[in-house]
Amino acid sequence: MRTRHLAIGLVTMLALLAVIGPLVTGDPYAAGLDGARLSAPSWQHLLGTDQFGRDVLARLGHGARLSLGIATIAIGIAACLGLLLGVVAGGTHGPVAAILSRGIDLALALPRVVVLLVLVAVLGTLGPIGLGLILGATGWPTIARLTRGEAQAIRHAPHVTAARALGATPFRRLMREVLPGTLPPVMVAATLGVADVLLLEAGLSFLGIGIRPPTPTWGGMLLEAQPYLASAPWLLLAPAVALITATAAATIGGDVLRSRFRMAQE
Amino acid sequence: MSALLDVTELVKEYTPGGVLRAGHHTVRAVNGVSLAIARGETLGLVGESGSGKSTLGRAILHLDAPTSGRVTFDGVALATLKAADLRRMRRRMQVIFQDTGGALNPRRTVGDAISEGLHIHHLLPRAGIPERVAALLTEVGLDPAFASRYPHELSGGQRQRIGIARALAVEPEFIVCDEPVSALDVSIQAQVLNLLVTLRERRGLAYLFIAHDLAVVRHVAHRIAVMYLGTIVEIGTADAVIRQPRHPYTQALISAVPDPDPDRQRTRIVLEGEPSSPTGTAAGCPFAARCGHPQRDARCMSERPVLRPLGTQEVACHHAR
Amino acid sequence: MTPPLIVRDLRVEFPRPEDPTVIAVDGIAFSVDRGELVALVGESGCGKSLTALSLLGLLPGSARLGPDTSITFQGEELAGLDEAAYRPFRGARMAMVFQDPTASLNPVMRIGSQIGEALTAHRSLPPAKVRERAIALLTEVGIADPARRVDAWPHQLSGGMQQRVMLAIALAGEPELLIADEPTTALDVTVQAQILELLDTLRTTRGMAVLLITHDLGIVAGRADRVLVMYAGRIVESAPTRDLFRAPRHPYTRGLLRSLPRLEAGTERLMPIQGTVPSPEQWPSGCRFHPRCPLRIARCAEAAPSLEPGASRHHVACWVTGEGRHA
Repeated sequence: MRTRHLAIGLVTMLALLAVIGPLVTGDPYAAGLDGARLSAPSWQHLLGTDQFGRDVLARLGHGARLSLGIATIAIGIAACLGLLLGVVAGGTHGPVAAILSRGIDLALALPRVVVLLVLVAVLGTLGPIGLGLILGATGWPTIARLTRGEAQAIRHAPHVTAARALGATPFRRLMREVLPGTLPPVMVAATLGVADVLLLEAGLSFLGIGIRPPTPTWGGMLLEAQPYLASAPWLLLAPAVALITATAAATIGGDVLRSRFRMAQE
Repeated sequence: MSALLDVTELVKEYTPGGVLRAGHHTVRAVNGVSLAIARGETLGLVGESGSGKSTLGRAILHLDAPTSGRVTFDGVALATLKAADLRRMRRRMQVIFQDTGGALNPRRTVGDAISEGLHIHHLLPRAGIPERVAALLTEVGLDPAFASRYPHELSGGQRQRIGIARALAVEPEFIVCDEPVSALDVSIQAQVLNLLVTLRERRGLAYLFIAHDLAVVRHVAHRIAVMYLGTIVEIGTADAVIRQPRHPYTQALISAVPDPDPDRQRTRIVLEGEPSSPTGTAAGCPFAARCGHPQRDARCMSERPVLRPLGTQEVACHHAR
Repeated sequence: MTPPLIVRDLRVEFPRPEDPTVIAVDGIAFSVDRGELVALVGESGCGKSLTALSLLGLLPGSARLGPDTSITFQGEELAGLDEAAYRPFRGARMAMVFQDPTASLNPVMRIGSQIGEALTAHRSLPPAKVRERAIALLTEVGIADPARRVDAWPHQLSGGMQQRVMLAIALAGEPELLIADEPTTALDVTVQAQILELLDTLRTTRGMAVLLITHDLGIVAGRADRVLVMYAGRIVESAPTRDLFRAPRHPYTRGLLRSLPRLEAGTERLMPIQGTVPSPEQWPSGCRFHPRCPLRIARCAEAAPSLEPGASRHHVACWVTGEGRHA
């Protein structure tokens, strides 16, 4: 019970930050007037200012919107692709399923981070949408494997045979009997995947190859905070805490979903 | 009148694959079965585990295509049908499962489950479906309000009724009942059995009633076939098979049925051992190893008996009389 | 002589934080004598399995025994004992056999080892002796070629043989009480007959008290000395086997017997009991069977009848057919 409330609370906070934050906190790009650089948190700048005098809270808010937006695109793509490919690979039998299955196994064998780095190197600087796309494109194999496994299990369930006995076509059976059963685990995996994507995006931005400055992202903010660790610790703390909170929220959310599905099954 | 269902020399083999199994021996679950069911007739199919009875039921419906042999439904050989035609044919030959929980999609309402067949075969305009579903629910003895419930909210007996309603929705002529009451409580068994009999009479249905419980089959079947390791060893009218069993296995089976009468305990023919795995490769009578017939001999071990008429039944035994 | 097992006012409750407590077993009482086979019969949801579990202290964590519950085994009170205190009893003096042997046997352990575990749980034996005893037990439960089978893996055995192994494991501790919870339900009918035969032999040769829990009245008729019929958490009728079948008194028992399919019958319609078994959350007031009972009177809904001693050892809990009245 309490975990559920915690997850909901965190998610709400972050959603607020992402949606409303940028509207109320001011311009993340506005360089400060003299005296406003690297200033500690104050009433004027709730989380302080950075080396250019930009309001940290405003940057955090924009960063939230960006990071969460990228995560949404990525998960959306990964889930749709993974679900589709996985359900056909596991829910049907025949050459198509076999080929798809091998394809999934192959894709799983490629380490995600390496592929991401290669893609970034090849494609150059990416905007948020581009980043979301490649994150999604590298995230579908895990979901596909999960879906494939579920579909294989469901395929032999009596209610699928019953549909067949009624004269349902293979397509109908796949869509109406097999697919719905794979959704709950996919939803859990997708929610947990948000955490992965947030961290990957932050990592790429931190390395300087994700979203480039001056666009504020949490990873970018972490990068920029490095030289000022001692003198202006709030520059590091703000994005770090935000990142941890968001990741935790996604993870807890995923766990909560999982236990609810498990309880519903019993 | 020709039979509604005609099965000739049906064979069904599996090769249980898998990394952990040493060798790939084939299992011949159904070893050359022939039978016929007339319109409106109920044939009870009785056997224990390994007898192949459920496999036979599935093979007859071509849910698992037979390895060889022929299944003819109303004059049409099922194997000659194209996939789409076979799906259309399924309207006429339905099935009811043992596992009431698993046979219903947990994410669909009862109404959805029952109307599935109506949608698949376009039997009714969308507007007419709720009314038909309500009528079907009433026919199987449930309140029409059940249509909006989910399977997990219902008891085993209620779920089985829904399975029956679902099968009836497409107006079949023949239903394979695969252990329909085995998983139900005693008092519910009786209700569902009575329902099946009522429906049969009202709709002129033919059943292949598969069960391991002879007493249950007795109440439903006109004729009974006894299966052992993929073969029918005895087949005849229900009365004849139960009152005058000729095959040693049938006799043992009947003697093993628990009798709810303390004073009339049957003399038990206790069989040695248990049924072996049906590889179908062994020559001779499949029951020879466990048979206690006084005249069991070398011929039993080497020559497989075929069904021959004996009294009012047909029996597959060299020495039965 | 005092029966080894005497149960009084056995109540099993499931307290829930926000809802009223669910009572699954509502104050039943019975005893099992040495060498006696008592059958506890009922349909699903009546509480018979919970009864079995409570005797061995194996109730799920969320369950509680009633305050006045007494489970006396060989004069010692078991109700309320904690895990550590229960352990010396389990497997040694009281043993249980469950319905599904495949689920109860460890798939990655040879059966000889599993029997060995049971043998050494309560006393120490040198390995050679353990093996010897295991083979002896396998012989006792009728497994052919025991010296070879003792090294077999569970999946190499059929269902019937696995159940025999379970019996061997149960007997390893030389129990005085054996509880068998639906031991043959998962087995073929011919194998069932063998296992029941075996149970009968074992209790005679070892003088064990046996409590057989089942839903199958048929297997009871041939084997049990006494039958307890359970419905919705209560025992509604208790009688020696012959009396129960010859002259059942409780309407539920009668309904049950009438609804049984029988080989000897023709194709007459079965006579099922109207309605369905209520779940513990929805138990009717008074006599729990009254909504389905053809003989009910007004009183049945108001108050619950208790088990009345009738002629001989035949007890019935019914306002209409109890109290010595024969309907």
